[in-house]
Amino acid sequence: MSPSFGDQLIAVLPRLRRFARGLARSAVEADDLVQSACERALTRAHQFQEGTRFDSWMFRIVQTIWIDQIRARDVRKEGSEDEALQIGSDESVRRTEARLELREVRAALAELPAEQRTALLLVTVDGLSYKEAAEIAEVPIGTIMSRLARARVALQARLEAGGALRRSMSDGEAE
Amino acid sequence: MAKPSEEQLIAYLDGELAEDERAAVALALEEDAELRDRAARLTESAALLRAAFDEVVREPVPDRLIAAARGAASAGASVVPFGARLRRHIGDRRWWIGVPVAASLAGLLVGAGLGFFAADETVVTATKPADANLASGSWLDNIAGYHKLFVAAGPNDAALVDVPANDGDARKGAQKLPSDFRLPNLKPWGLVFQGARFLIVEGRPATQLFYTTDIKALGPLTVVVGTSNKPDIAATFDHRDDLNLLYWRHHGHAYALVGQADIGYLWNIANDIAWQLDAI
Repeated sequence: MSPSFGDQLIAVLPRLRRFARGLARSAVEADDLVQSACERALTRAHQFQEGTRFDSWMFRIVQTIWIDQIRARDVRKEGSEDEALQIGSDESVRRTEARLELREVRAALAELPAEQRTALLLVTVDGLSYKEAAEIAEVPIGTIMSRLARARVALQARLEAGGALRRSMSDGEAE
Repeated sequence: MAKPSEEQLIAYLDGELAEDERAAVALALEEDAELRDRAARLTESAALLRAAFDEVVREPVPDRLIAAARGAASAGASVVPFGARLRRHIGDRRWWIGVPVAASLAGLLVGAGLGFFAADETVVTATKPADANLASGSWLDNIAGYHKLFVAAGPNDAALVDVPANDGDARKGAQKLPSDFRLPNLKPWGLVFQGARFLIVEGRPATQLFYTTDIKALGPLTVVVGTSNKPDIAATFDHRDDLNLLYWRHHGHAYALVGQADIGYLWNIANDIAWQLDAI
């Protein structure tokens, strides 16, 4: 007996929340995004193909809804200064982040273009393969590879400029 | 080789290069200190990024999302209380009211432990519990079978429990948990440790811990903790008859939960266990 649709959905919720947290502008907005994805998934459960990866299907739904929301807001430039500031002003997020560099990392991620952010969240944060990430983003593997490279380089540059990477590496050497 | 491109270097660090290309980048790294420094910084920034989002997967999942996943949000159906809400509701109630000791089922145990080493991370779809004739069953079958025996026989069955909760008093010569073993504290969930048994999971030693509770929605629970030399896997759900199972591997350890509790409960308890045992 395979797990029910709802059980599979619950199992993947923590990872979907993490993915959404990296995409959305606040924790509340991220959970709204995941909730919308759950509701859409249930209405389209018949479209899920048995034998394919359920988590990839759900990641794709989250990403699709997020892109729709961005378009609806007519956000022309992802990662704008305003967006980074909004993340920093989210009290719930600030309370839960004990380490300064982790806040810096999230802010640095928020400054990246949407497609680079998605690639980083799927591969670097969630640990999916390039192939799996390419299927979710619906682009060729080579595109994921180049997006990741640009994103990793840009992220590193931002973290070095902000000092988070330097502090982290110093901590590692001290240990 | 010529200095690898950023794409090649990052794909190398992500383990995504074909063998020949991987060897070439490895050679370039050996010969080029500047490149090694670049790789170290990329690795560190990736680790920082993971750390920045790591806490999200350890947070209790909000009720509204569980309800949405069950299709209950729009219908306004009642939501199962999780996490903090459960802890607040249970307060300081007395948890353990005792498990009636049923007739000994030791005879059924003879063959139950024979064949639980074969399973890998593949979700096993068998629905029958472990029994004396199921020598080829998976370790999931085995722990589910023992869970049922534990519920039926209770924690005082000497044939079932290697380490009683009050070791030394109940049985002379009883084994003890290894000194470096960390017992998850599940009292905040209303779960009281009753005893443990030793087993082998995927060829490695493991311990199955039995907990009981008087919270009917949660019911008795077993937790399996063992070492593993296999890659990490995310928490995966499975079923055996009326039992829910949740298992995962992380940082050289394998874990599993078995019980009749709603998967939402299991999920939050699993997060708690992962936090307790991995936060070293």
